[in-house]
Formats: sequence, C-alpha cells, structure tokens
Amino acid sequence: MLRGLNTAAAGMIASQRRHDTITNNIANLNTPGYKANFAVQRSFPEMLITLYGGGGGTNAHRTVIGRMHTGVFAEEATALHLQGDLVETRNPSDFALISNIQIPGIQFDASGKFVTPEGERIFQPQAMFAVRAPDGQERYTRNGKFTVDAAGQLVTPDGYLVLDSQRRPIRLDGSGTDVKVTPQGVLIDGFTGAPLLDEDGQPLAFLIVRVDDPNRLIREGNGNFRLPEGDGLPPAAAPEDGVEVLQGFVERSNVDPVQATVDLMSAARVYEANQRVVQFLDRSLEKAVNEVGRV
Amino acid sequence: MNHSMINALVSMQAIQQKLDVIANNIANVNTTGYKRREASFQDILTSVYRQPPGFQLAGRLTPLGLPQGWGAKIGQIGLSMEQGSLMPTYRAYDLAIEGEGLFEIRLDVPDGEGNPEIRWTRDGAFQLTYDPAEPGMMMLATQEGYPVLGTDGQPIRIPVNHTPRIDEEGRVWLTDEARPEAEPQLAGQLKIVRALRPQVLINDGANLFRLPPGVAAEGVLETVDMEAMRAGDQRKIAVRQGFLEQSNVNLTDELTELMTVQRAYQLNARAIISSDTLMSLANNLRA
Repeated sequence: MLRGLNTAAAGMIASQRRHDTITNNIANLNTPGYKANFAVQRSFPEMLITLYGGGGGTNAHRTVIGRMHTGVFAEEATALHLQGDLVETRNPSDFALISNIQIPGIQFDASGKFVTPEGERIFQPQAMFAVRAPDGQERYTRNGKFTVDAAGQLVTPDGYLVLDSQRRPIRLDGSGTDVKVTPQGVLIDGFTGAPLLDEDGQPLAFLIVRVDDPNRLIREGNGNFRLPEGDGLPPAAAPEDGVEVLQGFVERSNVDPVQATVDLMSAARVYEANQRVVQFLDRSLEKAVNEVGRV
Repeated sequence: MNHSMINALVSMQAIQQKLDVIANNIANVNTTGYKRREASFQDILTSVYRQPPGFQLAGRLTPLGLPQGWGAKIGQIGLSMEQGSLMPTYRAYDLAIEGEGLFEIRLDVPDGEGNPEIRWTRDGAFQLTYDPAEPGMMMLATQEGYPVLGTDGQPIRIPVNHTPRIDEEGRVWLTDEARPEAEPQLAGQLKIVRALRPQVLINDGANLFRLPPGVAAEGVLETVDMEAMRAGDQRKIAVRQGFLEQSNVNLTDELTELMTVQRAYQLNARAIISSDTLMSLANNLRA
C-alpha cells in the first residue's frame, strides 16, 4: 500500500514537471526563435513480483505474479525544432532562417521525424545561426534579432558575436544600416550591390550551420543552444540544403497556444487524479490503522 | 509548482513592459518625427536538473539533464529608423528629412565639463527665436528653443525681416523682405548626420536622440557628405522645406501586436490559475 502512495506521489511530481514545461512554452509565446519544449515521461524500471509461500513453511514454492512499475518520472524535455512562422519587422538587422532540409529517400512527417521499418527514428536536420559566447565557445540560435553595436560588430541581444562563414565575428564598417543580405546569407552593400569583403578579400557571409540531430542541442536560455562536449562543430549548411536567410523578418516562436492550453489542462488533471489516489490510499491506511482489529 | 507560477509571473511582467512600449507607440502616432520602438522577448536562462549516467536509457533522444526554463523577459527594445510619410504644411520653418538623416541641435545648458550638449532629432518643426548673443538676429530652433546647428557647428542665424528658402542639401538662402527682387544670400548649411548604428542611440524624450555616456560620435554618427551624394556615391538624403515627417507608427501593426500580446498575457494568467489549483490540491492531500 505504501508502494502505491509513492507511485502516486511520483505521478504528481512528474505531472508538475510537465506543467512547468508547458507554462514555460506559454511564457515564450512571443519569443522570436523559441522552440516548444515537451517533457517526456518514463515509468520507473520494471520489477518482477513473485509470491513466495507454501511447501510447509519453507517458501519453496514461488509463483511469478507479474511485472510492475512503481511510478513515473520526467525523463527529458525534447524540443520541437520545426520552422516557426515568419513575421515582417522591416528592421534591417532582423534576420530569419527558412530551413526545410531533406535527406534523400526519407519523407519527414509533420513533426520532422521519420521512423525506419526497423524502428529507428531519424530527425530532420535544422539550420541555425552560429554565434560566439564570451567564453569563446559557439552557440547556435534561431533568434535573428541582431543589432550592430558601437564597435560595428553584429551581435545578439545578449552581446554574443554573430559569426561569418570563416567562424570569425562579423564586423560591419562604414554603412552599417545599408547592408542587404542575399537569401544565401551573403552580405552585400545595399547601394552598390557589391558583396562586402572580409579581411581576406572573400565575400562576407553568415555562418549557417546544419545540425544533423537537433535533439543533441542543449537549451541554454536566451534563445541559445549548444552541442554537448565531444560532438564537434557542426558543418556549414550546403547550398543544396536550400536554407534561406530573410532580412527584415524574424521567426516567431513555434508554440501552439491551443495545444499548450489543452496540455496545461491535461497536466493539471493528471496531477489531480494522482492526488485523489493519494487520498484513497490514505483512507485505506486510516482504515487499516484505526478500524482493523478494533475490538 | 512554484516553478510554473514564477514562470508565468516573470513573463507577465515582461508582457506588461511590451504593452507599455506599444502604448507609447500608439500615443505617439501623431508625433512629428517619432520613431517607433519595438520590444522583443527572450527566454530566460534555463536551469538543468542534473541526471546521473543511469538516466541514459534506451530510446532517450537528448543528452543527460532535464532543462527547465524560467519564462520570458524583454531582450531588447529596438528603434525602428524607418522613414515616416511626409506631410505638406507650407510653413517655411517646417523641415523634413528624406532618407537616413538627423538634424543636429545644441542644448542651452552645457554638460558638467562645459562642453556643449549635442542632440539629434528627426523632428523638423522649427521656429525662430531671438539669438541672445547677437541682438537683431534670429536663430533657427526647435520647439523647445534649442538652436539647430549648421555645418560649421554654429546655429543658423537669420536676420529679422528675411525669408529663408532651404534647398535639398540643407543650404539656407535668405531673401530680404524689403528687397524681394535681390539675389538670395547664403546664410549657412544645415548639418545633417547619418546614424550608422541607430541601435546605439538613446531616446532622450522630446523627440531627441543622444549618445550613451562614454561612446564617441565617431563610428555611430557620420556627417553626410553632400558632395559625395551629389556625385551619386551615396544613398540620397534630402531636406524638404514645408513638410513635416509623420511618425512611423503603423496603427494596424501596433493594434495587431497589442492583441497578440494581450492574449499571451491572458494565457499566462490562466497558467497562474492552473498552478494555483495544483498548489491547493497539494495542500488538500490530507483532506
């Protein structure tokens, strides 16, 4: 019986975690480049229940009753890395990525997933802007709300440096407001149409990386993601990936408010159901303690 | 549980700030030379519940750790330097800038070190005021009476009974009202600067922009070279006399934004109610 109490408590904690995740999605309904997060639950490891008894008090007979789990926990929070809607801001330092990277021979479903006949899940690769954090490491983001700081560097709202195709910070000298960007991410002078050149005399372009398994990305807040240590740097997206950069647009959060409301209600109700189970068990315990054996 | 509540609360505060920015834009829908501001959100630093390696079970997709966000905050409030529409007023002292330019003006009180305080504006609703330094002279000044500066860094001085005509390049030509047939005289040229990094400028109220403390004007603002522009090497900037630049606030955009943001506020309030229900359930565990 006490085992049941713990199971119900685990259910309450897990649905609370789910509730927290959904609240965070609702909170970021208007955050550009935000990717909805979903808490994935897993049941506790299975236990084998066996009945011992009989055999003249020797416990020689064993009958397997079956398997059981004693609860559930929030295992991971996977992000839905799908394209968000684009909204026009007409701000020349706002950028949005459009990516729908296909893998030959694979048809991704609406959630960007493909399951092979062997049951292996393949996720759609995603394109992201690469930025450099103050610790010198790369971060990846879909929030293209950049600004040009006083030093002429293109930075994210928290001051991370936006990187060019050679993994160097992008620096705009001279006509900062008059820079246009081609769909391929090459920066050009808005007046003459000539590409801006980097220090090696090569055309200056955004570094748009292709993250093959977006589930590897670790959320860091502020719209930034990083890859776990040991995963290496992701390669730049190839021209055939068809990734486009749009200037004067931002990508909206991909949270669906209807889905979020329904999920919120369901998480709250699951919590309530688990609470009821705790109460039932408590009442049974009460009976056992106070009424059974009363003379 | 408190997690959900803090999450929603933090975001509601951020949404409130965004509503304030939208309200300010709507309030300035008829302010001459007003530049729309735009607040954008960012999700707040994610904390991670650590998970030991035993959590790496078959079927798991993400690296170890359960990330938990803490809502949304205002990431930046940006300035949109988009051109507003020009409205004819037929007043000689109403000027509008077509293109990315700003008028330079000087406040009447110098800063702590005695240097003149310089501000920039798009609001070209000017007037004439008496020049305290030179009796009998008038200066071109803003509504607040701050002198508008010329390319020489001095106010544009106009003697009484003279009518100014200002050409595209900001040169001020004066005609003596007593002798209208005489050749107009050049009285100076308005200084037009271009904001290279408009996001660095601070909105000082009263339609004025200033530099943040400690930031030099070089690299942020650049005096427009009218010669280069005449030669076609630069994008055109023109001064239009008898016009005023309207605010660049688009009421449709602002109201749409207002509705989206208000609904988000509502949904966050719902989330608070929901987490409150969870709390009361926890309180009533032992009914």
